[in-house]
Amino acid sequence: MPTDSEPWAIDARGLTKTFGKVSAVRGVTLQVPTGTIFAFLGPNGSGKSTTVKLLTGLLKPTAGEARVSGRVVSVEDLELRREIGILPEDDALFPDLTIWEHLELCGRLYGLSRHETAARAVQLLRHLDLEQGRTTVVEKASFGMRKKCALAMALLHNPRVLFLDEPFEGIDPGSSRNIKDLLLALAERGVTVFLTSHILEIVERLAKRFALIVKGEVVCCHSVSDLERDGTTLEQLYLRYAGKPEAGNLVWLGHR
Amino acid sequence: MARTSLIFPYQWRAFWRRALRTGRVKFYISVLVMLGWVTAGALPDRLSRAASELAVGQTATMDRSLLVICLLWVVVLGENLNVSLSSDRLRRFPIDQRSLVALKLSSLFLSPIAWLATIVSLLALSPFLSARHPLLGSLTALFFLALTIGVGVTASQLLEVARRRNRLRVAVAAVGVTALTFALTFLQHDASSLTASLTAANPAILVTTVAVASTPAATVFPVATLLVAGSIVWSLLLWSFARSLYDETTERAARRETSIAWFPGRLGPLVQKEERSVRTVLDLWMGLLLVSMAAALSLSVSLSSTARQAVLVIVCALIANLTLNCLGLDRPTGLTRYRILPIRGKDLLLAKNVAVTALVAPQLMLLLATGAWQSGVVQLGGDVVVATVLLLAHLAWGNLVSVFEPRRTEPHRFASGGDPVTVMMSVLIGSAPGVGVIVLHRSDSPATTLSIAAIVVVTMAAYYGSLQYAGRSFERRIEFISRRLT
Repeated sequence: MPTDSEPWAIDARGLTKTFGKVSAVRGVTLQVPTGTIFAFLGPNGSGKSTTVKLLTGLLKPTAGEARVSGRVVSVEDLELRREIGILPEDDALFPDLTIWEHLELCGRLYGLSRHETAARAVQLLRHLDLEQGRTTVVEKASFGMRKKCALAMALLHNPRVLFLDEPFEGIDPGSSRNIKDLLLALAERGVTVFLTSHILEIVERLAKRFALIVKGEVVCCHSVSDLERDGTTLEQLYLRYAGKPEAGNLVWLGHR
Repeated sequence: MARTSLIFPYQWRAFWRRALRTGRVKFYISVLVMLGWVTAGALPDRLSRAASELAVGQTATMDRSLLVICLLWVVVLGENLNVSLSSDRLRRFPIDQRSLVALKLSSLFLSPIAWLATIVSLLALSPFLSARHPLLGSLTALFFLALTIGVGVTASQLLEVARRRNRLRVAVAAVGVTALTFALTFLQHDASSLTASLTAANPAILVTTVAVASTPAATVFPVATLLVAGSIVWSLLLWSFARSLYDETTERAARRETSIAWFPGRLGPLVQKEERSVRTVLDLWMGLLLVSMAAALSLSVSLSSTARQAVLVIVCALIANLTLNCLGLDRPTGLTRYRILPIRGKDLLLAKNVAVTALVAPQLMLLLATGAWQSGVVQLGGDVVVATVLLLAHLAWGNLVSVFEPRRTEPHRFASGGDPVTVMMSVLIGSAPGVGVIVLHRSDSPATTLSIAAIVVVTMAAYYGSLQYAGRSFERRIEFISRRLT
């Protein structure tokens, strides 16, 4: 556990975000130790992506406070942006630039030299099996290619904390394996990874700790090893808290 | 600011890549040719007149010229730039807010229309060299232009934020109603006082006053006023920029918006969806403003049937950009959805046409009601025929242009109907049957009723034919349309 000299990598207390009358996130409190892969789970629309935006300073909280890498998260803090890498929910790419241009621009904005940017970009594209598509304009790129490009942009400046919103969505099995290996290696090197995912098998294999958010509130926060000790699967725990949508009587399906 | 100069080359590249892909280059060329031609024809004479007036301390021509330039910039700012490297997507990088604002402002000058506006603006300021204070006058004029751009950008930013947009609408409506009441009160008593008041309210007067001031002391008030206005506008611009980045966005708010009406039938939900998106285009609100003014005017002044019918023609012409680009608010994913659903192209276009009609009809009905109140039910019949053929003709022609020359439209902006030649031609074609009915209505020929009936039948047939043909063409050209709307 972190000491006073080595703070939590992510420390959120009472984070709340309301849009008009809708409460998207309600009093989220969680701590993530440095060098941990932390999974943030929850049903669709439960507030996962909003929490990621709050933790990365892309949204101002209505109440509460978060610290990332020991810095208070604020929308104006540029130093914080240099410390973190973000793979946003909607990949937030620029439709009329090529994949290579994205990495080139990204590296320069993070203050890397042209040479360093090119060297890192080549390695990342190779690792993500994206070398062939480097000249593809994002508008014409496939969903998986766009996701990989956004992931490469999140990694390019060698961040200390990574926020990955659904990083495995639309990724082919080969690249997915590469990404998993890379994330594990990064965690060993002290990089903290905060990821959201609906693929519970991947979370069980990758994450050390996880939290479950339902209707904007964190309903449980455990370590994966606790689950193994209790003989419970992540899916069972997820269904216990998040519930299973009413299946209904879809007897009309298949009868024409 | 170093970040801005780093990003700008990428912005430039992305802008032209998109312009080439979506066929916008043709639009730029035609606008440049047309505006350039108009400017070259009208500007020299106006400039020399303004220069000679300023030399003797008169400002009337220059006051009007500055106002025209402001309006030109409103058009430039209203142009849907839809830049690739938007502030919203750039904010996850370590870039400070001022650099993002600088990038946003510099991106306004990516468009060739902005280049032309800049050249025209600078040329239009040249008469200040003949004024008593050439340097101060020119600098004040430049500051005034910057102020205009600042106001335009602030308004467009506020329109992007759902909560602020509603307040802006209320504020504009309140100002509009107050101005209208004020104008009507004046008009009933003293029309010349109204003209004088409007002239005095022209903010360009502050600039020309500085240029021709007889003493240095006379420049203090206008310069101070402009400086105060400048600092207010700059603060508002920065504030609205931050709000547009961090407040609730249009997209999230749009999900909560409800339709104002229920539509029956299989296409009902589709019409409701279209009605919700069409409502976001500013052209409709301009029409509403015009209709409200005409209706209010007819309460105090008796409008002739021709004048009222002319307003009907103008209101329908105002929505031409919307009818000419009925697919503009769709996105490629939406078009794919249309292809998945078991609906024909003609069904889709019909749903879009019904949605536009549902929003324009109340405006037209307001005019028709005031007409009926003033001139009786017989006149109402004539007006209804004019309104019907106008709407049908615009929709019929608009369906064809929408399918063959689609252009992306952004919500809370003016619709983009295409290059000026297409728009003008379309306004002529769309207005022709309505104008024909108005002209026939005034003639005493015995065949008038028959001729009007023939126009109505032909227009209805044209609408039906356009729906069928454009609908089939939509199904065949969906890939092309998709590419154009990215």
